[in-house]
Amino acid sequence: MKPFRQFRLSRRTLLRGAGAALALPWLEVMTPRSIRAAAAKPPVRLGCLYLPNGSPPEAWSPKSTGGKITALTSEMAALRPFMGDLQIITGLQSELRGSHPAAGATWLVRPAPEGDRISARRGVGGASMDQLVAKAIGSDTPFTSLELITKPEGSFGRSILRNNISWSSATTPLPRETEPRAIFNRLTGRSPAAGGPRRDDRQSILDAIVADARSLRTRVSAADRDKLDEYFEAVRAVEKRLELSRKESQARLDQRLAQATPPPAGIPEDHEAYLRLMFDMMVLAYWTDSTRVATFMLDHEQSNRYFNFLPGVKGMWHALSHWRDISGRTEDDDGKTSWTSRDVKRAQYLKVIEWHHRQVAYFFNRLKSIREGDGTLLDHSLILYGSPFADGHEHASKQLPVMLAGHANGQLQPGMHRSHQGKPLEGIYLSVMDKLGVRVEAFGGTDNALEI
Amino acid sequence: MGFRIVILLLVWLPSHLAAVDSVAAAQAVFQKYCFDCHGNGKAKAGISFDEFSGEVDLWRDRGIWLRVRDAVRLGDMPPEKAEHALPAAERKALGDWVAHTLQHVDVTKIPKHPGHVPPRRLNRHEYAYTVQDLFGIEFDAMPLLPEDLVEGGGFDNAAATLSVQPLLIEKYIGAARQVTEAVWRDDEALERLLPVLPPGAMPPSGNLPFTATAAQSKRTDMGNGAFAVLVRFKTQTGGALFSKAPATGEWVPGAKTLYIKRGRLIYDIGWLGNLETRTRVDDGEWHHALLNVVDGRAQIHADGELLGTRRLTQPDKAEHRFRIGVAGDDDEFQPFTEGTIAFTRFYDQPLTAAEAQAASAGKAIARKPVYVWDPAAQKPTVKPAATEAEAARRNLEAFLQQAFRRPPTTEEMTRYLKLFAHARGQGDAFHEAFRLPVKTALVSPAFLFRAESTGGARAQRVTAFELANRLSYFLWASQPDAALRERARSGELLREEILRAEVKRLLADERAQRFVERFTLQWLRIDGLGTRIKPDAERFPQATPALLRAMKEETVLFADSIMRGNQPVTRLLNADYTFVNTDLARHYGMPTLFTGADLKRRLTKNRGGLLTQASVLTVSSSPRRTSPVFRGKWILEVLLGQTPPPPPANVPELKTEGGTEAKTIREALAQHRRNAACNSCHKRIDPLGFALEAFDATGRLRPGPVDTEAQLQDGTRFDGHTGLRRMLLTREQPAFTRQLATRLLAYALGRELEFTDEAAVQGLLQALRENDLRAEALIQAVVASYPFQYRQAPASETP
Repeated sequence: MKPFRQFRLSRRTLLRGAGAALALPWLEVMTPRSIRAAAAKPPVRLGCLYLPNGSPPEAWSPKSTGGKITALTSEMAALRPFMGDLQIITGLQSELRGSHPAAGATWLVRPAPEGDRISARRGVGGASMDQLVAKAIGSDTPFTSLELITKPEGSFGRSILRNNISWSSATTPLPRETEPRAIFNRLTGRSPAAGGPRRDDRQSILDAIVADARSLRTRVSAADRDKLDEYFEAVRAVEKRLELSRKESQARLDQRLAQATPPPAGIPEDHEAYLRLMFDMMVLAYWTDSTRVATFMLDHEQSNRYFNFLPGVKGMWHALSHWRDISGRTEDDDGKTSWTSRDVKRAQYLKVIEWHHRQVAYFFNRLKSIREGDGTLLDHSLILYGSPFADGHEHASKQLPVMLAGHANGQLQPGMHRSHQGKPLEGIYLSVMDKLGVRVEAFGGTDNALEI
Repeated sequence: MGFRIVILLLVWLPSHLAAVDSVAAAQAVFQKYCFDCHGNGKAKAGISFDEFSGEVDLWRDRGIWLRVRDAVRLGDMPPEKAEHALPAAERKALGDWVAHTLQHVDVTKIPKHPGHVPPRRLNRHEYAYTVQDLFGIEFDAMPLLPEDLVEGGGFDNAAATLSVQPLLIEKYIGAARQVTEAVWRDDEALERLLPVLPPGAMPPSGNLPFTATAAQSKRTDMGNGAFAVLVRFKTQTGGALFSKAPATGEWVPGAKTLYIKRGRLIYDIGWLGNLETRTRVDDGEWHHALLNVVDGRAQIHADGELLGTRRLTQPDKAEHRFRIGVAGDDDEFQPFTEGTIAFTRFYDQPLTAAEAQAASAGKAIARKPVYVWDPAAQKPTVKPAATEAEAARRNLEAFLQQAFRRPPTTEEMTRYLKLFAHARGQGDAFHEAFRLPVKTALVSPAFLFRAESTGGARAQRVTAFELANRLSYFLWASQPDAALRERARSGELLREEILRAEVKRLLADERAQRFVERFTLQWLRIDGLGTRIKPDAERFPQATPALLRAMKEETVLFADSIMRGNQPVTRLLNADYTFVNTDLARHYGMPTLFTGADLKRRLTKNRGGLLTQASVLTVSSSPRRTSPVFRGKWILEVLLGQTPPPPPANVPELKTEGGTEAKTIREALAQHRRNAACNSCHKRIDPLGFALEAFDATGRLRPGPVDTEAQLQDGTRFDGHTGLRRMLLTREQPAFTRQLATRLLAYALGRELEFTDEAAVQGLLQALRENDLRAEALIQAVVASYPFQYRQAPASETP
């Protein structure tokens, strides 16, 4: 057995090398079959990847003939190897206009009921699509769902609405993990909560605090019970996971996970290495069937991450997305570095998006390289990738960028370019939920499931 | 341009020209001039006057009416293309009426409701502080918990946004484990936690071997060549009396010990040498041994006699601990296992010859030891109990009373005693068995939530315990201390003069720095400086992490000097001093006659107040350049409480005039403002930022002259930060004090303010006015306010 360590070395090689021929010795040496490979039919995994700050059409439109994708633009070059594994859907729109906070918070929910006046206290309109799925299918896995985000940079990093796409209810966002090692520890049960070498007394603790919550509940007003109910549910979810982790099948899984070398602690300085490790953790979670629902905000909405580590880019992401506005003319008060024109600024904006496509391609490749049953993990996944705006400058909510990758166990016909001109985005969510076996009559403003 | 002149003239006209002196008169004007867009069901830009029927409406929707006031006064509304132009006299009269009404709130007309705060989870700062105060340990639990996000420019103690999710429960369980480990490592903390002992049990520190805490070990410096240690013991076999050595048991170079071998006292410093004596002390009788080190010369005394002297000293290793009854895993000495050590006293100065003679003969000396290990002497503070069950009950009751911030219920007591019994049944020793109930309490909703008892449909005053909690979490971000708990228990806290005295006491305590820090960092939005917000490292290489830290610290210390120093709150904007260390002084171009990383108070010349502090100037800039827009917006939102509406979704392309590109930011922004859609807000935002252009994106003064002149739409001119400051402190002073008061109230209440809090806000403003704007008056008024002292179930329908 030569587990993760090997893999990490080759990953670095891979980072240096050309992006095309990705070899994945890590999982191969580990008998790269999913834990559930033996099961009759592998489960479908849902993933939602969020790209903030919008994407203009050239970074999201395919060339196609008769509905078949025939070519991708140079901005999408990294995704070319997966043309047969993905669908690009154009023409969708959202009723939502305008604001960044609403765009992020309601991406997986529905058009913000109150437009720009949306607030976390009043709620975002309902539970998000991924959480509806998680509630329906999450009870079979140790983790109902997994929520990831990159550690925020810029002044909007503490804003609830900009930093959450997964909501278990209209007012409850799920806390997100930002550190690969913490995710790994959680998946492998090595979290500090795991009791360490001492006797495992978690069950005694959970029993007592449930009783505490019950008696507290009787002493507060009806209006105050919501908060305690939320606490209750959270404790129950932890209990459930403990229970599952005691089961026998879990023991086998633990054994396998125990061989894995954890990723380095902390947040890697190199942003590319960081994103890829986060994707690795997502793959690990799917592969071990620790969860079947995961969301990953590649960055928080209105992210002002400073992308100066990309050659030719000098600017913060959100600022770049407003490429028509070169009123500052220069990003630099010494006047030496300047946006000489809108084209230059727009090109930098596109570069940032293109870079993210490259990371997403890495993820797709990871999924595709793992065999499971009669196919690959990508065959058994349904990955939604998208952004709440088209052109970030206009905050345009028509022609939304939407992509579906994976085959959902043969339920999708990838390789297609579909146009759903003028249809609401939630129509896609209805279909996505359907493929996961979750029947929802209406979602957001529509009861019309769109073909995928 | 024409407008501005008209308005300037109008300012000087007598106001009786047009009469808008009542709601009805204002309604008439709106109906005539504004209803095309803002009435009869039309609500352009979300503003409609259909429902406007009284002054109360202005106070409820203050934000909107401030915009109405400015739009009317500045001539933005009605727009030029409107059918009826608003005559100048009516314009002025209407603007003045709106301004006057907003300024003069009749609190009797505001519906009375203290507001509702749901059970509030401790945020991670409060959790960390509470744990420190609960156990009296220096342990940072912050990194164990995820950051609490906020809504808008809100605070991370807002009850509504503090949710609980499975991941968080897992983290709390993990944190509880680490916290209890830290407590059980620290014997002093453990003795405080478990003061009641069953018959026959020893306090943990009474057992040998004993290892002192890091703090205690620092006090017992055996490496400076000038100290003394006195031990009383009896033994028939010998072993190590005390040592300064690694806590792990290794014997390493530089470790020190006084031990008994072959019946003789020996002082040894690892790999350096030793001092051996010849008199036997292993006869099973009581002896006193004294190690007295004078000027690096070690002397060993026993029973009134000097037995030997040798030059023997070496500095301590920082990580070494003071230990009793053990020295390390060397063959030369054994742990002191048979016999008794009665006490060990450590003096941080050597004893005089006379003292040494007396002390080693067992006589009392006047000199006070800096550290004493004496289990027998501690017995009085350790409370005995008749049975183990009674000891467990008394310990747990006292602990839960603190942890739950109220007396535990009978049911809770039964439950936690069961946990203790369970652990005991698994074979845990007496002290060890408390780990499980303590760990559990730290994950219990009774600890994690500040839940208040049922608020009925009618407003009622919170209980004394609840008031104590509200107070300590406001001013300390942590639990009440023993004194405050006692005031709550006796009910005295509900008396006004006692409450005021407690506010004063809490503010004076250094724990109140936490309040200043949490409030200031979040209010001013500088929390993320150095982590989420960093200047470009290539462009500003001097902005090191250390400098960014110092910037933040400067602002916190500065705010502390005003808020806790009871200065006028306007001094936040206008002070002639600040706090700098060498790095920051250099950054500011101030003389650096001192050195060091600690910040010290210094007078300033070209700076003063928050607006000129590097923290504020940096967070309101881009990484590579300043942004007058960001800075202007920061001043409007943060200092004046006026949030400009978001920019329109579709900003049309800016036309460049005659093909010439703007050369400077100022020119570019001027072009930008020529667009009417942009101008209505940016004419208010940009000038504020221009005044600060003398400072670069890290708050350094730019070399050479910089154009810092600015002019507001109404003609007000000011230049540079001094001009800006003067303008803010005169014309905008009411807006600034109101903003500070409302933010402070929101922080104290743990919720955003509602319209029904307006009466409380007016109370704060009055308290400020009557007390020369002093900070303590404001804080006292917050605590005395209706929403702080009362609660009520949420209104079934919000008005």
